[in-house]
Formats: sequence, C-alpha cells, structure tokens
Amino acid sequence: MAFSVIGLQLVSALVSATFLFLMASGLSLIFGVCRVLNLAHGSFFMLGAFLAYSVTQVVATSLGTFWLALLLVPLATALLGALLEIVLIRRFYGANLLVQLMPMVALIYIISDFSRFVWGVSPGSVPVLGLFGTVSILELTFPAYYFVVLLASMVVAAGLWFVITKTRWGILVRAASQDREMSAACGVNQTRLFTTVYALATGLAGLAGVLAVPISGASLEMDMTTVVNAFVVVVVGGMGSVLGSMLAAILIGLVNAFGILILPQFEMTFVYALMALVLITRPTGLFGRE
Amino acid sequence: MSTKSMWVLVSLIALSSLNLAAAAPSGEPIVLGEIVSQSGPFAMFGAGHKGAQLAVEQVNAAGGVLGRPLQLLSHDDKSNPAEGTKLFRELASKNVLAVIGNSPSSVVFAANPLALELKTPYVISMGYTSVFTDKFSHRYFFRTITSDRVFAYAIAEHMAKQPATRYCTIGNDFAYGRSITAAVMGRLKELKPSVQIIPGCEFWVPPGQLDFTPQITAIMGQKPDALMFGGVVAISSDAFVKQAKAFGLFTKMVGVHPSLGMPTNNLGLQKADLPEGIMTGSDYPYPPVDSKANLAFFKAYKERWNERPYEVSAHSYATVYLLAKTIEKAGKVDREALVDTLPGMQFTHPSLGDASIRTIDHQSTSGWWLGYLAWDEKNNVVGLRDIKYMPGSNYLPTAEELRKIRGQ
Amino acid sequence: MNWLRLPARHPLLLGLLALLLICPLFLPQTYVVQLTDTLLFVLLAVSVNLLIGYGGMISLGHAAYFAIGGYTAGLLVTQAGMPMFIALLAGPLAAALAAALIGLFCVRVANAYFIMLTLAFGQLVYTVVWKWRALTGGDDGLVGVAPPAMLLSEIHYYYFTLVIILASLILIHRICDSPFGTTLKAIRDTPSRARSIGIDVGRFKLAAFTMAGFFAGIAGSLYVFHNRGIFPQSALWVTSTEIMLMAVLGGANHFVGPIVGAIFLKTLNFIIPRMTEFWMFFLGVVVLFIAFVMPRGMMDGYDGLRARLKKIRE
Repeated sequence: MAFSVIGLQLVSALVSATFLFLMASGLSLIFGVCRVLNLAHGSFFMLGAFLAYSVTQVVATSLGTFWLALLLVPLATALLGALLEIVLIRRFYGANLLVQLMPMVALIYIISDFSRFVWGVSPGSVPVLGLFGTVSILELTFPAYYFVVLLASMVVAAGLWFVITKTRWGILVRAASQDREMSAACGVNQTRLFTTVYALATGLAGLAGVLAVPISGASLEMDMTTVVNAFVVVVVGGMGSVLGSMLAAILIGLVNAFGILILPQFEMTFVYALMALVLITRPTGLFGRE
Repeated sequence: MSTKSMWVLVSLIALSSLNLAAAAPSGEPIVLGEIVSQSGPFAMFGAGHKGAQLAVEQVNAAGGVLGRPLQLLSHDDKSNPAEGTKLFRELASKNVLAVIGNSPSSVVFAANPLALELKTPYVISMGYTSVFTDKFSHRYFFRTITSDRVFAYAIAEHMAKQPATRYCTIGNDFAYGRSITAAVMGRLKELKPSVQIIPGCEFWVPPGQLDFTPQITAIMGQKPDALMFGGVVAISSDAFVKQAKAFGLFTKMVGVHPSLGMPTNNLGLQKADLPEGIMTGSDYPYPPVDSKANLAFFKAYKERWNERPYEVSAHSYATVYLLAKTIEKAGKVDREALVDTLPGMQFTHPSLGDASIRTIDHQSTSGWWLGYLAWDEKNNVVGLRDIKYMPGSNYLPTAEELRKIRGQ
Repeated sequence: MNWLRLPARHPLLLGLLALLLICPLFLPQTYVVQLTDTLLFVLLAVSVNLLIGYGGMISLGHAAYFAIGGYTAGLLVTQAGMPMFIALLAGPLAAALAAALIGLFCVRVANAYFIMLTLAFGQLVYTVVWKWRALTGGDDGLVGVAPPAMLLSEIHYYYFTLVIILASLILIHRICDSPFGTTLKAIRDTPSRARSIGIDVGRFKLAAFTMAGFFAGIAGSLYVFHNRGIFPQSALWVTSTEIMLMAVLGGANHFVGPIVGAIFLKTLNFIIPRMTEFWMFFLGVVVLFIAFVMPRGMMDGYDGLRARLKKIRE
C-alpha cells in the first residue's frame, strides 16, 4: 500500500477519533462520578452544532464568527447541562440505572423536537472549511481545518489531564469515582462537584458539536448516531477512565479507517465487532475496573 | 395551522365564493390519504405534504371534484417502514379513495404489497427506485415521477462521451442508493466497455452518515478519473459535498451524481460549500424553470407556505391534480374505477411539463433536467446551469424489456 | 390451579382482559391493527421485565431477539415454504438460542456494563441484519410474509394473537411465582448473599436471559405475520429503549407494570402524532412528568395512591 494512502487514512482516523474522544470522555466522567448513564449526551452535541450554526448566521459567516461560536457555544451547552443537572438529573442520582432511563429518554425526545421546531428539517451549514485553506505534506493535501480539530482535541486532552491530576477539583473527581460514599463521608461537597462534572461533560459535547459543524453540518439525526458511537468508545475504553476513552477513540478511528480500506463492504460492522471482541475478553473494557 | 396560513385559507375561500363560475363544492368530501415522512432522517419529504395541501386548496377553490370538496388525511411515517405499513392499513380501512406517498424507498417497499392485498390505490410522488414499477408493479401501484433508470441512462450516455474510465463509487446503503449506483455503472459499462470500477473502491455507508473523511481519503488514494456518488442522498449528500470540497476531491476527479440538484439532497449547502462542475440533475431545478405553469406554482407555493418549493412539493402537487382529473374522468368516487382510469391519464407537472401515466407499468413519462451544479444567486440556493430536459420516454423500459425484467 | 388465582390477585388485569376480549368487536379496523401491535409490545415489555424486575438486569438490546424471532419465522415461510405454525415455533426457539449464546457473555458482568454489552450485541445483530442482504433483504426488509387466509382478517389475527399472548403471560407469571422466580428476585436484591448461599448466580441469570429472549421471539414471530414483514429497524437499540421504557413507565416491580406501560406508551404513540407534528416533544414531556411524579412507575404510583386513600379513610 502506498505511503500516501496510509498517511491519508491515518490523519482521517485521528480526526474521527477526536470527536469520539470529546464525546466519550464526558460520558465517562459523568458515569464515573455521578453514576449516571447520560443517554442524552448526543443531544448536547447536536445542540452545539445547531447553536454554532445560529451564531454564525447572525452576522455573515466568517472565521471571526466561527471563533466566537467556538468560544460561546460550549459555554452555553455547559450552562444548559448544569441547569438540567440541578433541576432534573440530580433527583435521579440515588435511584438505580433503570429509573434514570425515563428522564434520559424524555430529554432525547424533547431536545430533538425542540431543535426541529427551532431550526427546521433542513441541515445547517457553516461553510468555513475553505477559509482555513489546505496544508500539504509531501504529496498529501489536507484541509487545514482538520489540523485545527486535532489541535483542539489535544489541548482538551492535556487540559483534562491537568485538571484531573493536578487540581483539587480533579482529586475530588477521582475520589468520587473510586468511592463515592467515602468521599462524601470525608466532607466533599458532592452537590457542587456533580454539577460541575455534568457541566464540563456537556460543555465538551457542545465543543464537539461546534468543531463538527464545518465538516458535517448541523442536522437532526446527529444526536442518535453520535451517542451510540460514543458509548462504544466508553465501553471499549472502560467506564470512568478518560485515558481509556482516548485510547479507545484512537483505536476505533483506526479500525474504521483501515477497515474501510481493506473490506469496504463491511463498513459499520467493524466497530461493533471490535467492541464485542474487547468485551468478551475484558468485560470491563481496556481500562475499566469492576 | 398558523394564523398566516389560516388567513390565506380564508382569503382563498372568499375568493372562490366570489368566482361565480366555480360553485363552492358541497357534500361529503372525497378523502385522499397521505403517508409522508415528517420526522426522522427523511423529514425533508414533509414538504411533499405542503405541495399536496396547496393543490387540494386550489382544487376546492375552483369548485372541487365532481362538485365535492377534496380532503387530505395525512400521517407521519417517521421515515420508518414498519410505521408506514401500519399507516397504510389504517388509511386503507378508512374511506380514503387512494393513498399518496411522500416517503423514502424503504417505506414504499414495505407498503407496496399491502396496496395489492387491501386493493387500495397507492400513488407515490417520491421514491425513484425502478424496481417498484418493473418487478413489483401491480394493479394498485402508481408512480407520478420518473424512475432512477431515466437519470441513470441519461447521465451514463453523457459520461460515456467523457474520457473517464476508472471509477470509484460511494452510496448510502439502502434501496435507492444501491439501485441508482447499479443502474448508472451498469449502463455506463454497456455503453463504454472500457469503464471499470476500481477494485476495492466501492463504498457503502449507512444512511444518515455525516463523517466521510475516511472514505474520501481512501478514494483519493485510489486516484480514479471519476467518482459516481449518486447513492449518497438526503443529509448525507450535504455532508459529503462539503468534505469533498475541503479536500479538493472534485478538482482531481469528475463528480457524477444524478440527483444532487434536487433540493432535498442539497438543503444545507451554502455557496462556499459548492464544488464546481459536478455533473448532476434535478426534477425541480433552480432557478425555477421559466414556464407559465411553474411560475404560477412557485408563486402560489411561496405565498401559501412562506418557503420555496422542493421537488417533492411539485411532485405531490401534480399528483393531487392528476387524481382530481382522474376522478372527474371516472365520474365516480371508487377505488376500482380510479385504478381503471389512471393508466393513460395526461397531467402537467410544474417543472417537467406534460406527462402521462404509462399503461404497461403505471409510471410517469416525465423526465428530469440534466446540468451542472451551480449556485442560484437570485434565490440564494443550490441550482443548476446549462440545463437540458431529458424526456422519460426516451429511457423508460419498453413492454418487451419489462417482460424480461419481470421474468414473464 | 395457580393461574386461576392470577386475575383475582390483580383486579386491574381482570378488567383489562374483559376489555381486550370485547372491544375489538365494536372498534373500527384501524384500532384493531393498533391493538394487535400493542399486544405484541405488551409481551415484549413483560419479557424484558423478566430481566429487570426479577434478575435486576437492564437490557438495551432486547429488540434483537424480537427481530431474530421475526426474521426466522418470516424466512422459514418465504424461503423454505414452511407452514405458519412451524415458523411460530422456530422463531422463538431461534431467539432463545441467540439469547443463550449472547447471554453467556452478558451475564458475566453487571450494572452499566451489562447495559452496554447488551446494547453492543443488539447493534451487532442490527448491522448483521442490515448487511446480510442476500438473506434478510437488508434495509428493504423482509416483505411479503402473510398468514394463511383464515388469519388474514385483522380481527381474526387479533384474537389469534390475544390467545398466544395470554398463554405466554400466564406462563411468565408462573415462572415468576415459581422457586426459580424467587431465586431470581433474591439475586436481584442481594447478589452477593445469593452467591454465598450457594446459588449459581450466572446460571440463573443466563436462564432468565434465555427465557426473556424466547418470549421476545414469540412476539417477533407473531409480529412478522401481523405486519406482513419485518425491517432492520426492529432490531435497533431505539426499539430496545422503547421496550425498556414501557417496562419502567409501568413499573418494573410489578407483574402488571409493563403491561400498563406498554398499553400507555402505545396509546400515546398513536394519539399524539395525530394531534401535533411535534409529537416527540410532547411524548417527552409526558415521560418526564411520570419520571418526576412516579419514578418507580405507574403501578407504584397507583399503589401509593391506594395506600394514601386507605389512610385517609381510616
């Protein structure tokens, strides 16, 4: 196989992995700390994409408004996440996973139809890909924006790593995900911790939505397709492990990109097959604990 | 109903009462059922309902059918075939005369056999897959639009004259996606035997897929002369075109997509997203076709719904008019009489002009417009340039061919 | 006889049964189709409750067994020319077999991992159905499956379904009441204690998983004839979530809960889209409301209400 083909596939695998990682790390955090399966995570991703579309529509679409969206929209989804955590999700913490299913499904329904009401059925476009130009490495040409996405995800990954390992908040997060009762017994203000974790995770989902919109546009079905893939990543990586999510995202990106190259007719099956394989051999995922 | 549309309705009714030539329709309404995708991945087909509704209001304003008003009983199939079958049975069990369909091909696949079982006319104005009118054709099934065979054969003729021989293909993995890909490539190979699909360069993605990066890079790695991506439709085609443009895909190879010019396949695209020179077509091209019938439809639709019509709007609009005319001709409101009268009926489609329903397979003789993807500055939407009408009658199967396809 | 006591213990059930027996005679055909569909989901919700309510296992892949049952039955009729009754037997058996196989891996884990693993396998089944076009027809679905002439009429098929569903429900109820069901409940409540008194937890869970798959397969094979075909969407995780939602809405702690939940959700799904284009929004609001007011389901809310009324009277 030519070097150029492998190079192209490698970069596209990493770009796909970026979105998976941004989504999965948030899901994993929420599950690790709050013990909630945030089935509605994809809805925040979709909201992020649509909000970014609206922000860039207010003025003419330009790089300036896109950067503005990149700054504002994750804050907006984080705020919404915090709000929902306070008025809704919080009430279901004590309950088992089963009872949480109702509010989660309700949220998916409500956000989906709310978006259809506000933005209609036609997808929204933020045509800034061209404004970023292209990057040529040897004989390969890439849209420069893809490297912006890669860079952004690296910044997020580094930021997450720093926050979780070096700050007081991070210590609390780690403590809560290892033993919630003990950390509560030690006097940790869990209410505030949970709200901030939920806000951070939904903010990351919003960020993923903004970053995705120049590439794929904003459309109504993106919530469901994204959330399933993100769950796959979390499961393969191990629940509650951000590092696991990152490595699993890269693994799945690679499997998909090279799988397509070798057996294009089996697209779609690789990912699930990989997941089943990992779970059969390591039921708690690559980095998960029982 | 919004207040605005309410007013339009009221004024329409007022207008019709002023018009002495057209007496207000009275009596029990003639009910047409409609199965339409208003939510789910094909929610944009919901515009089909708006076209049908407009036609119903116009017909009623002009005196109705056989002196009776028309009425539309519409349900959302959620783009889901199982929901479609349930709705078809529900409508068939009611007093609807016929069921109009504005759904993706998967729903048509599911509902088509029920039309025969329940002896209820099913008249689709969306769903181009040719197999409905050849292999699965039956007495109660009609299609008022052209079939993918027409675009496939016409575009293949055009491509056969081009130098490209090494092709890649990509399509959504569903009935229409596969049907159009097979039809274009099959015809192209017949017309120009040197054409080949590069081994391993045939991609199938799930409907609704939005990230095409790995496929695009894989296609670029194969360096084909042309890419046939006609199977990529609805929200997927938007995303694909954007990403292809960013990679400069279509500066390195020719792009072929028979229906990218159709509004429901390019809804989210803006001027900056548009690659130049994609060979495509549409049965509702922008800028709107400059005919009296079409300009009137365009204006009425915009006034009624405060948005531009899509191809599916024009199709179902024409379909309701066709049904109204057929009922008048049959002289009675009866499913069997409708089915007996429909074959051979002439009708006018806003952008495609005069057409008729073929007796041998119950599909329309309308064709579609071939052209190159271009931005329509006036309406600020994706459009076509250098358009040329391709009449369906030149490409539709003959009775002989049909017999072969059906294995008779 | 044990099962005769069932309606007596659940007066709600008795009324419901009478309603189900009589009302199709007076309903327009439209609603009969709808009722048959609802009955099938009643069985699905009750079967998934074998997992949740008794085994404490939350499955987001239950639709897979529904689909396997449906596709097996449909394929036997269309491809192998088998008569309907053989298809109705083979469908559930195939579903049970698949559930036993998949269950082998799933029951090893608990809680969230169980949910995810069932979801993964469910999606795997979905993609296989979608991709194996030669056999399943892919997204075109498997169409042209019709019951014998005697059952073609909507009302005949309704009563046919009703009989099988009732028999299945009675069977499930007996299973739940048996020592097996009690053991399952013990496993749900305190798995560690159950293990310590020598119960082979894994084997019991696997048995429950297989049985749940079997009953989902019954629903699937009845569905394929009712609907004249089956489509890949029936295996999708969204369908599984809907089945789960039915069980939870109705109340997973009760035998009757999922029945109520299925009827409630199916009714809403029929009514709301006929009132508004934005049906999902309003459906969401209703579900959210119930989640707030009766987080343990409608039957629990009903019990609570009765208890409170009793207190007031006293």
